[in-house]
Amino acid sequence: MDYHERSYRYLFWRKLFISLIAIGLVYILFIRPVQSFVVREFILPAFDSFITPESEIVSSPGVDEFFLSSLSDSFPRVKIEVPFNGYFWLAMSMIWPTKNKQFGRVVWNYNLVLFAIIPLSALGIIHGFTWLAPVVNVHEKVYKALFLILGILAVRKTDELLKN
Amino acid sequence: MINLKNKFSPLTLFLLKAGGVYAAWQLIYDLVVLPDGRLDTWLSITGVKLAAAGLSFLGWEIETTGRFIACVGNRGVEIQNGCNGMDLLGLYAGFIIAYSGNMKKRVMFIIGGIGLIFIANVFRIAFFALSNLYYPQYWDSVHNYSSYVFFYPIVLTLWYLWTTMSDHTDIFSGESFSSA
Repeated sequence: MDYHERSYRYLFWRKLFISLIAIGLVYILFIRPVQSFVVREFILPAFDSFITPESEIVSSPGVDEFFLSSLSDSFPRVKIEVPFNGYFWLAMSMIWPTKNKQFGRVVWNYNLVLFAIIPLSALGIIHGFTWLAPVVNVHEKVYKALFLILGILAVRKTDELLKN
Repeated sequence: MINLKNKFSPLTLFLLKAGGVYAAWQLIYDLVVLPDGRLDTWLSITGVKLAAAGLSFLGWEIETTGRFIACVGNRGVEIQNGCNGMDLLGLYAGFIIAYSGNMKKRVMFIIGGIGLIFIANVFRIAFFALSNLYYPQYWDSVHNYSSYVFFYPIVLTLWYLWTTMSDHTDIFSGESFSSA
């Protein structure tokens, strides 16, 4: 390992840790409180207005999300979150220091697509398409895991390049 | 028969495989494990018991009942399903299963990682009990962000280590994504 290799790798890892801590702090202190406020004050009331009094579906608030559940337990509880939530920021805090535009674009664009997927699936469940509930739960786990995987792979790829 | 290896890049194939593993795990969890409840209950109660034993050993007076743990005379914490680290076990193992490597090493890595995450969860439960004793006013923040402190650093570090241990480096070469 020569001096340059060590210094480039060192600088990269230092940048990565600074990015994780800085974005983590911005998320905790600013982004999440704003998202929680928007969900509590605007999004949850808006979706609540679609739930009829005789519906067996109930909504309940979370922190920066809300939940849809069935009074008769006819479907598993579903978490409805806003796009650009914590998983986006965690993934991006790993991707930004690597300058991997391709992975960054995938994560960014998918979050834009979530602006359509999440409300449509929530409205679908509210309007009785309750078979969507397990699908929504599976989708949530898969996309969040894939964001984190892209983050780790971006880090690994950059470290591999710097090493070689 | 379509040859997926020719059609997709190694990275795309890996992401598809990982997505499939996570989807299968979530379906099994939602339809079998969660309704059955035994594994979740075992994880929660064992975590509480071990956290209580650790804290008692270190000199705190602890009381527990099932999923509840509290420092004597203080507000208790209930470790519910969904808050017992089960999600993270699936998240961790899914990556290791999907990312190719030596099978024996992989099994060892999964078992070791699950053990480590379980231990981290015991520390997290103990931390919950102590935070309710010393800083009850910060309970919401402690609860909301505990995963980011106790679980994600472990999961992400172990994932990274696995990519360095595994011989599957073609993921990082050439075009990252491919289209059919």
